[in-house]
Amino acid sequence: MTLTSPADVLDQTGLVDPMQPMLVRIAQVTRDTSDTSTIITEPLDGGSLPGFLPGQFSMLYEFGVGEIPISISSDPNVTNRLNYTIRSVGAVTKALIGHRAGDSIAMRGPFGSSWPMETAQGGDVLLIAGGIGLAPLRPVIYEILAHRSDYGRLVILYGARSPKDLLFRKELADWAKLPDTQVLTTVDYGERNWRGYVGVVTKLFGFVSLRPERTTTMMCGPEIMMRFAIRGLQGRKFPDDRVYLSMERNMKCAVGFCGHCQMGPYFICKDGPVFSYPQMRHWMGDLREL
Amino acid sequence: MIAINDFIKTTSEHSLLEGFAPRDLERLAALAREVRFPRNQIIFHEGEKHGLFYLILNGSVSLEMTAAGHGVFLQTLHGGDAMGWSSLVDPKGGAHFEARVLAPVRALAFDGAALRESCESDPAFGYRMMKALLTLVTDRLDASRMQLVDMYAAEPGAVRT
Repeated sequence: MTLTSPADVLDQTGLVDPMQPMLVRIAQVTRDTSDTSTIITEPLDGGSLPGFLPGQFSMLYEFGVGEIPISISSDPNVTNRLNYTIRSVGAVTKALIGHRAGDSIAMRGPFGSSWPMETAQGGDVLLIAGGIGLAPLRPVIYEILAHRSDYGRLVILYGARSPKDLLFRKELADWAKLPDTQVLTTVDYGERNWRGYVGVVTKLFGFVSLRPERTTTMMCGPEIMMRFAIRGLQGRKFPDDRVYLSMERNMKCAVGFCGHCQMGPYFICKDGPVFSYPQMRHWMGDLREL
Repeated sequence: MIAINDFIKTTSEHSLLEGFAPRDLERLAALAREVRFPRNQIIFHEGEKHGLFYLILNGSVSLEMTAAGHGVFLQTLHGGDAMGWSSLVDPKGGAHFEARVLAPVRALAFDGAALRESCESDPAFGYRMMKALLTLVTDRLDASRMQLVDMYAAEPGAVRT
């Protein structure tokens, strides 16, 4: 269906007005790495925050600076709190993670498509994350852990630039101890005291045991990493139609009107950010960000 | 030298030897010896002319080099990987990296000069060996390019400095 007016969007999303931000209070800011922090938001004055599905994002508005899309990194089963893990790469992100508890920001959303949690049920789940790409996959992990018997093996492969750039280290260690769960991390550059893997994330494929035909793969990270990972999955006979990825483009309106995030026939904000690989196959690597 | 049956059993899951004919494996078995290294042992130092080519059977090894006065940890190798391939193609050169054991290693070691001679005396075997090595080197090159791209950086694509 083609959305032709804001009224269509209201019907589709069920939001009062997708362009109208709501004020939220920052309950806490936790530092994850030298350039990345997680802000935990809560409703203002007894109000409520909308729920979300794993993989969705919000538009966060920093007064007087600008608005940006940020994936939600919290547990979808926890109501009235939305976490955003933000890397400081520009004026808005820097301002957002510079806040203190009690400050207010504005938020629109959540928007976008979600990870295929229902499709994944009954089979194994392979998560491949690179850098800050672990943040949009974290709600998937929480969701699986909350409904553990609905899923088979959970394998998390995570690559980062260096050991100090790994996100959620304590949680990674905790998840690694769970039954039927395997967590492997690798970095591009190690230090002498690093005892983990060094090399590309696809190298980790050799250390996991999964049933390709029964595995749903979800990945989020730099596109070059995802292209390499897809090549590695294909070499191991993982079916393309069970591979999903989260795409990132310059989203502005978040409802498919402005066209900033158009990629081929898709608007990343409205049709994505989560796509199946067959949807993206033709476009990945062919188009640079506009 | 390792008995051919033991060699086949030991290397059956080693990707580098996939597609090698029984005759090739016999030739390799005649040149191989099994070696073991405990944790933290340096297998070879950067620049050392050790002259050995290794197929890692299990365990893990870090490849490191010294840059700007400190050690940089470039890659980890595991069962199914190979190292010391420069001893096959550049007998006068030294190791490009330091190889240090992270988890106890069991490997097959081949004298680089003898293996090279074997490749030269039987070009068909030599071709298969070099093809396998080229696959290995291509994988390493891809991995190095990915590191060079620095894809997790705030501005990926800028060459790392």
